[in-house]
Amino acid sequence: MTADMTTGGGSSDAAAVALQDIGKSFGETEVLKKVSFQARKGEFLTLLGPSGCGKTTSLRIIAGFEDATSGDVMFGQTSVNDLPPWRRDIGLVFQNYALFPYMTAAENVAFGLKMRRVAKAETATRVKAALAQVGLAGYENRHPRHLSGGQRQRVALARALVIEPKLLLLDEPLSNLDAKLRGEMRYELKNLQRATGVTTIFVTHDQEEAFSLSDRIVLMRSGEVVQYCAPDELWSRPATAFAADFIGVENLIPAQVTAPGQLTCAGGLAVAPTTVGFAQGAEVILGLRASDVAIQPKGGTGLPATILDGEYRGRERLYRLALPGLERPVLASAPSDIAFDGEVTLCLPPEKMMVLHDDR
Amino acid sequence: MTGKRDIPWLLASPGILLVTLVALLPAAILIVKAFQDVDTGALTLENFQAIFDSKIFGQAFWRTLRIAFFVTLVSVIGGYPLALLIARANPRYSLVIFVIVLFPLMVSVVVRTFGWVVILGPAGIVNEALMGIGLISEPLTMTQNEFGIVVGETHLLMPYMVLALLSVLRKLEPQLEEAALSLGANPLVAFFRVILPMTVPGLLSGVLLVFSLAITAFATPLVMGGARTPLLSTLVYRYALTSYDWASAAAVAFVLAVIAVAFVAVQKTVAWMWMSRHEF
Repeated sequence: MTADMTTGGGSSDAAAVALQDIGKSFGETEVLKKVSFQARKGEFLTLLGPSGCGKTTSLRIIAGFEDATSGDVMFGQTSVNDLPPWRRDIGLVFQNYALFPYMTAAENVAFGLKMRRVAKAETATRVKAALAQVGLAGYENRHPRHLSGGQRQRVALARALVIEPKLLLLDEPLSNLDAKLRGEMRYELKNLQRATGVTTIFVTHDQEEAFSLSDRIVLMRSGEVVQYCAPDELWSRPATAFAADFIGVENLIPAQVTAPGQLTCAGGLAVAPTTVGFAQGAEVILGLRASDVAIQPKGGTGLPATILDGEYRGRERLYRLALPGLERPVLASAPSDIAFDGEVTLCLPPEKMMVLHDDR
Repeated sequence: MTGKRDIPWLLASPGILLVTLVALLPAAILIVKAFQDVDTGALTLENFQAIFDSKIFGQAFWRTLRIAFFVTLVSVIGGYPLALLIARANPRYSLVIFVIVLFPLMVSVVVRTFGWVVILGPAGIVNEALMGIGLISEPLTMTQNEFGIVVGETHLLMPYMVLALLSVLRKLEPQLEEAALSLGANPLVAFFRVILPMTVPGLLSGVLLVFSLAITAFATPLVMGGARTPLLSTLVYRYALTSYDWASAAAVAFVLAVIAVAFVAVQKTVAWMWMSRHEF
């Protein structure tokens, strides 16, 4: 899938970084197959996908640690294929922080400025400001081993940002933090990125992080881009069954297009989604979120169903229901204040149905 | 009655007994002998006076330190890149290099040293080759001198340096170097500013191993150095078994032990200072 380059004009929309038909092989194994995407200036772009999808390899190619087998990495209008990492002017944050253990927080942050031969007085000011920016004023002389995981991650961020890089690369920076801290850091990361306006490429396997942080998401799988779009579009219109599955669409039912606007699910249940877009006879996947399936007391219009079990999830309850004609149970969520049991009526809204190409 | 706390001592007692009998006791006897008059048995410093006055001791003393210094230096310069290569190379190649580096440790010292005589001797491979292509007309003297000893000992001791360095290099996260590169350090700067400081502990223990083994080496200096280039270790042998001068032999051995202990003390101090300064 190629990049969507139609939006807007003007310099602010110019691509700060672009991957053009990047291919990468390690020996016989092809880990990237003609991957293309771009990040506009100031954009927060996320590479999302399961492990082994090529997201980290893409990041390493942008950083210059790996050479692409084919294709070009462009910074603005220039190809950086032959530029070594230390000349690319990037800020990089790793999952394991990679702080220099024998240097203090301030010395860690100052490293990039020292390499750029920034004057001592200016270095001191900028290091102080960078640490203050990540909420670590007063921690200048601490060594990494005297800092908590969250604080180390902040130092790593300050170290990457203090050099005012053209591009900030984040390799699963939140994965080593516990759940509560991860939420806080996510919020701060977003604020920091907005405040500095630095073009950011973020690698994660966590769809929640991707949705909450990104301006656009590149969903990858086995070295290919599956979908490249804004988070809300990925949420509402996943391109394929894999995309739907990855972002957590609970019900994925094999079906066949029997007539225009008409699907028959495996097992015989006929449904009529509002959009289809597949030729008659095509094998497809019908996707439907549990939250979009409505459960009603028995009677009324809808499909008769039997509740197999219900799982309490706080505000809501997640039910597994057996539908006559369907082999696998349907998942549906309903507010937890009413408990359903036994025979119910199920409403599958046609406008919420996603008809997907089966690429799983 | 034996309590629980006595069990480790009990289990270790054969080992303790052995070490006491074959190492500690002879060492104690040696120290006493070094300070005793051979005939009367009275305590004296004459033995040391005698060896300090002899020219051959002074030469051997400085030669021992010089050779140990060069062996350590060459082991660091040669061993570091090797360790780096083994730590970084693709596992298949790194195993091959690793085995080649460790191979000298599996061959008898005497065999290995005579191998060097074959290579470096007056009619050895190197001299034959150099004379064959006409670079030299007279064979170079590469054995029976300090050069030969340094070559032989370095070959023997470099593996220890490589092993000591590998133990720290293998624990080094590759991201540290990548972080340095991304911050604008070229690979050379990244090496000296990030990798080297992180491997100082391994370097220090490698230096300790190589230097103390180098000052006490015996077979290599004997074969490669010959009679004209005695070291403290070969001097002990000569006093004890050639001239039957046990008092001088004991005194020289004592000096050698003092050098070894002093070096360990210096190394430990440097290591301790470095560690505390860098908060390891």
